[in-house]
Amino acid sequence: MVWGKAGSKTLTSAGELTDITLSANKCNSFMNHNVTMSANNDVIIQFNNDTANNYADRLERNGTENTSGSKGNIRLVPSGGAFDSFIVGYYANVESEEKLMILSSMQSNTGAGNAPDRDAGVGKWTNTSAQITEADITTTSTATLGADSNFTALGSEITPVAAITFPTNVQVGSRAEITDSRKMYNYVVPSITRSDDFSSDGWTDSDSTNMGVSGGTFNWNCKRDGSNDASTYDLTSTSANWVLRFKLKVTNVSASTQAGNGFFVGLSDKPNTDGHTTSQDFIGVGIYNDNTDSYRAIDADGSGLPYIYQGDSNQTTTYNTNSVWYYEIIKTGSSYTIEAFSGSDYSTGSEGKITGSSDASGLRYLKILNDMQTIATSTDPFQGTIDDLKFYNGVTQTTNYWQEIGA
Amino acid sequence: MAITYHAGRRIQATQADFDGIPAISGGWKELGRTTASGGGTDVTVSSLSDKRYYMILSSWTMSTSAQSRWRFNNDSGNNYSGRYSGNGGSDGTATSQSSIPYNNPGFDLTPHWNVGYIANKSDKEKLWINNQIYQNTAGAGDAPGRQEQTCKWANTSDVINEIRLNSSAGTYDSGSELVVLGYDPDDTHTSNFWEELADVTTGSTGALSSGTFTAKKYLWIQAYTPSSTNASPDGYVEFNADSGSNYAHRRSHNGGSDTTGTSDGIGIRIDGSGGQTAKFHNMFIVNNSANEKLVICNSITQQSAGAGNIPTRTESVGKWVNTSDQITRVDIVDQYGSDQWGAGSFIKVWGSN
Repeated sequence: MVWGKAGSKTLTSAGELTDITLSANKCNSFMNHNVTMSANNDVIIQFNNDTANNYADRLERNGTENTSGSKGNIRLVPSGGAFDSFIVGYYANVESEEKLMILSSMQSNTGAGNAPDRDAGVGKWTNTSAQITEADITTTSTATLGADSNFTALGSEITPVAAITFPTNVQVGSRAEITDSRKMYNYVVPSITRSDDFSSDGWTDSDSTNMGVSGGTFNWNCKRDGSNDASTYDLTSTSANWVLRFKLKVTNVSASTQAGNGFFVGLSDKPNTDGHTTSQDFIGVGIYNDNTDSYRAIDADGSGLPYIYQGDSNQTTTYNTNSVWYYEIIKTGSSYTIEAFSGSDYSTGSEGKITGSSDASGLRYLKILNDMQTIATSTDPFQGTIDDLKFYNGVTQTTNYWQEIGA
Repeated sequence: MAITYHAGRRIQATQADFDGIPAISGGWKELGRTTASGGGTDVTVSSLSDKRYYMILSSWTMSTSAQSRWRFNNDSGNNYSGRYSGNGGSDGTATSQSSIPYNNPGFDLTPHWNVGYIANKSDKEKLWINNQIYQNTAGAGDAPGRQEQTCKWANTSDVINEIRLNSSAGTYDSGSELVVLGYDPDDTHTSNFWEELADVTTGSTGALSSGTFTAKKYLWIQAYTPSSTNASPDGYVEFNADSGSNYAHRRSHNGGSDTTGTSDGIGIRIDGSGGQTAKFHNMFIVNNSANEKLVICNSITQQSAGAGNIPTRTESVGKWVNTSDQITRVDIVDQYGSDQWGAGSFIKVWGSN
């Protein structure tokens, strides 16, 4: 047996790295990279959901040693600021013995003008009846860890294997008969509910000057001037699961972002006449041009949409003139993901996947709309096109798949 | 039940077959390496795949004395800062530097061994934790030196795609080497840079030895002893059963000032606590036959059971001054008489060339 992944978790939105399942190995190592701390707290670790005072540690910060015993966690990084932190650890994990951990850690501080902090330490969990099979990385108070924070443990008694999946190199229409659960599946092609190359206009506009179809593309021109610029296409209804894909091209953007500018693409229960600030249900993406460009998970449930700089989570990206990105929104029940790709295959060049959740319902309109906040200093252009839009209803993938048809 | 195929495009299988088995990925994977041929001012590994974490193994000696420094993506702007402790001394810091700051102790002409880890996320500052040993004057009469560093590259728009060991004026000896390993949580590879060489668990009280294993250039060792019945069982690591006075070390116990040992005949001291309770050691070794073998080790001793008793720790570096053999056996030994490590002690050795 060799080193292999014992467990890993990456936050998709700000929170805590909890419920990380770990395979039990005697020898282990781990890496933990925490980004965008919301406040200045210790970063700590607990095992197997044990929050009792069964831990002790010894930690040196910048050369000064301190200890802490009979406590409810092991400190990975002591507080020093709301900074990114990086921890490398090793632990011995013998069921009948106290679990022993060696740590090397650091906090980033800010910018090259500040030196990072340096930590070195050890810790123990006094449980002598179980191996570590679960870990929680949290903070000592209210601070959260930012999206993309990650914990990854490697164990030494693992046999790595490639994934084994049920065959998909079969003909469409094949049927899988599951002999023990008695379920039946058909291999099907996901149907495209709406495919729009914008060669003709079936959309309804509020101010087509800024949001509307012409010249073979959907053309957007962001205005944060308090007026409603929106366009919708009525799908009449959608399911709990769906996929929306589209190609976005930036055709004109100023080097000066001023106060930022952007717009939204998604599904709403209300037509184009109900703009950004009007109560509605909505799930989609916010395209935000600012000093740091980003795309954002935007939803509303009986309310106006968030502002363009808000949202459940966000991913930095780049919107320059002639930038082209391929966006994919996948809604699965009450959660959804958004990912931008540089490749038209929607798999290469991912900028990163972000997530959101919402109980939004009645989503029937494909909707593209502006942010209606009145910002006098958001007048520089942010314009572009949308093309090759495809909407798949009732599915969470766009490739052929096994569809359950009953038992 | 195997998946079976039938007429009429029918497939029969169990639910387990249908659900499939998720991948279990392997460990650290080599992304690139460069071995110096001598005379160059840089040892560079470029075209790195984007991984969330890098593990950096570097062993180098300079031909002419000049500060060795690190740069990422060949960025020579003042975008680096760091903190370092040399030989357990007070921390020093340097900010707005044109390379990773390094407290040059003036031993460039002797072999160095570094093991570092980097957190590599494009939109975040790149964070680097590094431990280093330098050989000092050859021979067991001089203890090696050590450096602990945490550094960063303040770039928040790129991933690291090049790591450069660079000298301001000197050149690197032939055989100096930089190896970059990568690991990403999304990895699906089933390979490993670190190959298991030995895995020994004892069944009764006594010695703890890896036995003979295949020689490799780089070694990673973890060893655990649950107890010892000896009165004050300080741990040492011994190689190839050599009990001659061929070892020297430097160590800090609980963050205290470094102490050194030279011309030791028992091994490299990796534990300063003397506790009879469990000990866990993690060490990395560069294992070239023609060079003194350099060891970086971190250890914990449990101390008395219970959360009210604080564990102790030891940071150590050491060298085995043999320059004709590679390490092919590792023993965790006790300085007092015969080893009495408790049953269930284990040692694992991984290696790679």
